[in-house]
Amino acid sequence: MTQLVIISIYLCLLLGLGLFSSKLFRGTSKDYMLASHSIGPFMLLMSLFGTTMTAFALVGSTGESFKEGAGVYGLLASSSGIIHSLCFFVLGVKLWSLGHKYGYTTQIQFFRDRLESDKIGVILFPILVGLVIPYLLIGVMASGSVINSITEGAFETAFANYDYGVPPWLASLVICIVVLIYVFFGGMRGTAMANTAQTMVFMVLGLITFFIISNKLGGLEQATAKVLEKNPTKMMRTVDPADTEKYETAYDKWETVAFYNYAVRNGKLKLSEEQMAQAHAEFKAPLPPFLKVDRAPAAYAERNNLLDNLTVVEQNRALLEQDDRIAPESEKELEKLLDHEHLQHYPRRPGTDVAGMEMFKDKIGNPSDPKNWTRKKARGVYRASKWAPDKPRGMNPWKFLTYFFVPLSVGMFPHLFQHWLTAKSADSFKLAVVAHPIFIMLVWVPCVLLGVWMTSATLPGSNTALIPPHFPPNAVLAAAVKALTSPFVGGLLTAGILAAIMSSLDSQFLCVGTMFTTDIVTHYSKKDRFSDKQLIVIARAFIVAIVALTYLFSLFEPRRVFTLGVWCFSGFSSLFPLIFASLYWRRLTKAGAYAAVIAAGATWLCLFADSDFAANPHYDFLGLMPVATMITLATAAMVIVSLMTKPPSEETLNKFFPKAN
Amino acid sequence: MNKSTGKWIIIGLVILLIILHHDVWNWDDKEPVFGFMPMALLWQAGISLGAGATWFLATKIAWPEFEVDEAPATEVAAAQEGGE
Repeated sequence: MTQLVIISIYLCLLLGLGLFSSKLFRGTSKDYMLASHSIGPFMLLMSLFGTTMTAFALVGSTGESFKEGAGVYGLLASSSGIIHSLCFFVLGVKLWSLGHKYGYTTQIQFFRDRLESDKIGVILFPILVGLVIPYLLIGVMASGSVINSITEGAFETAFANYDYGVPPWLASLVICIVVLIYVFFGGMRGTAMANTAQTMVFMVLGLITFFIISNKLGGLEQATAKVLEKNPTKMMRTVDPADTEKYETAYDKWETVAFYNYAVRNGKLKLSEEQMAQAHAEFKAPLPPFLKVDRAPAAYAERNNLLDNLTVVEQNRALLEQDDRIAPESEKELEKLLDHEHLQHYPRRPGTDVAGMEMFKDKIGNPSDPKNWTRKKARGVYRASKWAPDKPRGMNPWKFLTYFFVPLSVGMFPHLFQHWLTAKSADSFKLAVVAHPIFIMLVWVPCVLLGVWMTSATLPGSNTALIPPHFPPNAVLAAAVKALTSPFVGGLLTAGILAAIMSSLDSQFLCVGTMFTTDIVTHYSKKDRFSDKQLIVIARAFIVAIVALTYLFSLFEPRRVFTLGVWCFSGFSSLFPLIFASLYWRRLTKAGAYAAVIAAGATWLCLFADSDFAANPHYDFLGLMPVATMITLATAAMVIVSLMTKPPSEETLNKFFPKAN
Repeated sequence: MNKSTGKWIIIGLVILLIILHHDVWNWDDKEPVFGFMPMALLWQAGISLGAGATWFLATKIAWPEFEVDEAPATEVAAAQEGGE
């Protein structure tokens, strides 16, 4: 309950800040959308950083390093330090100057002018808003997941299905409403102020919590030593031979259990009472009783060659059933024994979590009593005990290299474009350009270390894993905080995590409203058709509609925050060639721009569908990150079509490339 | 130093950072540095510091200059009204 009280106080303070910033509101749509170009270096740094560091940076990075190891930092954090600042430097400052000179508020206004095309807005608007939605979704989903995890056991009897904590759907809804309120009251100025305050909150609280947790784990060295002992692969980017050996042994044992369970279920084997007693007597592994139930007789059956009568097809069916996967209709696919990699190509059966809940129904209860299990833990233990063990994975150097394309997305984030335009002067960018990589490091290094440590941390005084291997990655950070800090500190850090999430949501909310009023409503209506006040109302109505849509999406089956984030960023990155060429390539034409947008959009859609809509977190295309293909095709289409079509008019070239004339 | 030379120095440093970022030589190094820090993490954190230093230098020797009017332009929405 303490955590819930702290979170509630924090949200109230945020609403207070929104109300305060509304006192500074000048009442014009320009002030609402761009804070009248009044943001100085410090607030620009904090709002740009707060906007780019979302749930992805805290919740996503911890969960991803829990699954993939310490190399996760190199995938996106260090590359972002180089590329984000490069984008601020090469694109941000120049776009700010053009925006200042020609009065742009949105990207689409700039593109319409530069490309001499009104219709480019019609094609870009749905794409940009469509890509902002998954970005919003990351924050909405993560806020629900974090609040639920940290408030587990807060209620005595209510919300039993959500581990007696605030249900994720309710938590996400409250966060959306709070952000909507302070964005509505304060506009861009309120957003920038809230971002600045929240960025300081999550950076300071994050560092404090990191040191508290490392102390609880016995200190920095002790926490890392456990990883080195139990999961050395998580310390590097190739697979440690010890982990391979451990995995192969575990996989062999798992296969035996699968065969045994299948044989028993299908009447092909039935051990007598004596055999069963002998099996248990001979089984010496120190496992909990629920694991011994099938492992002991399976080991006995194998030792005595009682499983040899299974055909290859039956063995494959056994593996698929044990791993809760859907077996194919045709037996032809199953005539050769499936290895683990091929097994993973079959989709999982829906409703497996229900089986997990059923299996451990006697252990699940209100977690305020430490003896009880949460539903998340039951789900994790069910998966860890029934499903095939995780195969240790290294990082493919080509995929690692092509991850570099992902941070290019900041060049096309519509909400960052709007933030760039709030700057008081070009010099205001300097601090953001320099400090951004350092700030990324300060946030990501503790999160990645924490994720790595959680792979091997054990409950104090025992050898039981603090977080089981198949634990939902999005809940790892909250689970670690809850298990290893006091309720007060846990509540504070949750406020910090929510600060990071909300400091992105607010800019995105504001941005979609601005785009709608500027690029659609004002653009396609008669001059002075709408007053400033009416425009603000229209912007707010559109924001509510988009937030409602995002919220509905968040109620569906959740994806890994990191995976969803990478897909969303990849979409924006695929449009990077367009923004770069429009600023630095005179020969870019309207038709070339259309070709780039269509190629980027079509490639993104095809590959996203091929990845089973982000359900496969290890998806690659030709061994590379999908973004590499998207950028290559978009650039090729843009260059070829531009060179084949009529160059822009002299007037436009003089406007955007004055030095060349 | 003129802006053009500065620009080329920054381009060179960014390319160097990109090459150093792809640290295949650390791929199978699991030994922690300072007793707790995985090499895969420490090296990349160093890249972040290097990026900060490079961009600091960029603001000193390659910062672009813009001629900006004192008063910003008014909305272009009106000018764009009506489309093509």
